[in-house]
Amino acid sequence: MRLTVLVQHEQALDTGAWVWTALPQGFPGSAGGRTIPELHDEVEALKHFFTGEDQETDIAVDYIYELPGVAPEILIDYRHERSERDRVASELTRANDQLSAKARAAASALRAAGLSIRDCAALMGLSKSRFEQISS
Amino acid sequence: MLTAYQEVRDRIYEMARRYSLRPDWAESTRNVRLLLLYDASQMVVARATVPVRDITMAKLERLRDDLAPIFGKEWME
Repeated sequence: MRLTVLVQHEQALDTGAWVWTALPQGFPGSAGGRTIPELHDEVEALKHFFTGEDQETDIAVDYIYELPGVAPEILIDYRHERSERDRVASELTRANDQLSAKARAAASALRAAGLSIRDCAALMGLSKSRFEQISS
Repeated sequence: MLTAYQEVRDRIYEMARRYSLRPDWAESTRNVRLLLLYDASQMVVARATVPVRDITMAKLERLRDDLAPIFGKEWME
């Protein structure tokens, strides 16, 4: 399940410290911290209490930050771009793995056909040393 | 509105007695205590967090609103 938490920055009445307050949306309770990591830790510790779910239930937390003077879109856009980057990076890794397998198969076939290493490398658009790496 | 932890805690005990509920503290973190309210049949009728340190208006208002269905809107006044 997903839990959305609104985060505000405000001054504590008792200590006077500027602290972060987390307010679960649609569920009772609140959490806090003097730093964002401290707030994240407390929300993680309390999220099952907030929702009334068993400890075994997987709960993903979405944070919405209310930062005076900072448009919410700035963080939202940044997070969107970062997740897009992560998605593309993951695709690139997968494509590289696939290409490596194809390259090894091609190198093996070319060598089996009796071509020299230099010719194999030229056919595959690789340097001689790179071809040797692949075919070793 | 009550703002000190001791005042809020004592008011919770007072209101719980008035409505024949049993308060139980589930656990504590550095900043809050977790409150469960049980009725006579031992069912949880409300849960809330009571701030003990770095108390903010947002946390107090959340606590007031969480327990308002049980204690009434003015319970923290």
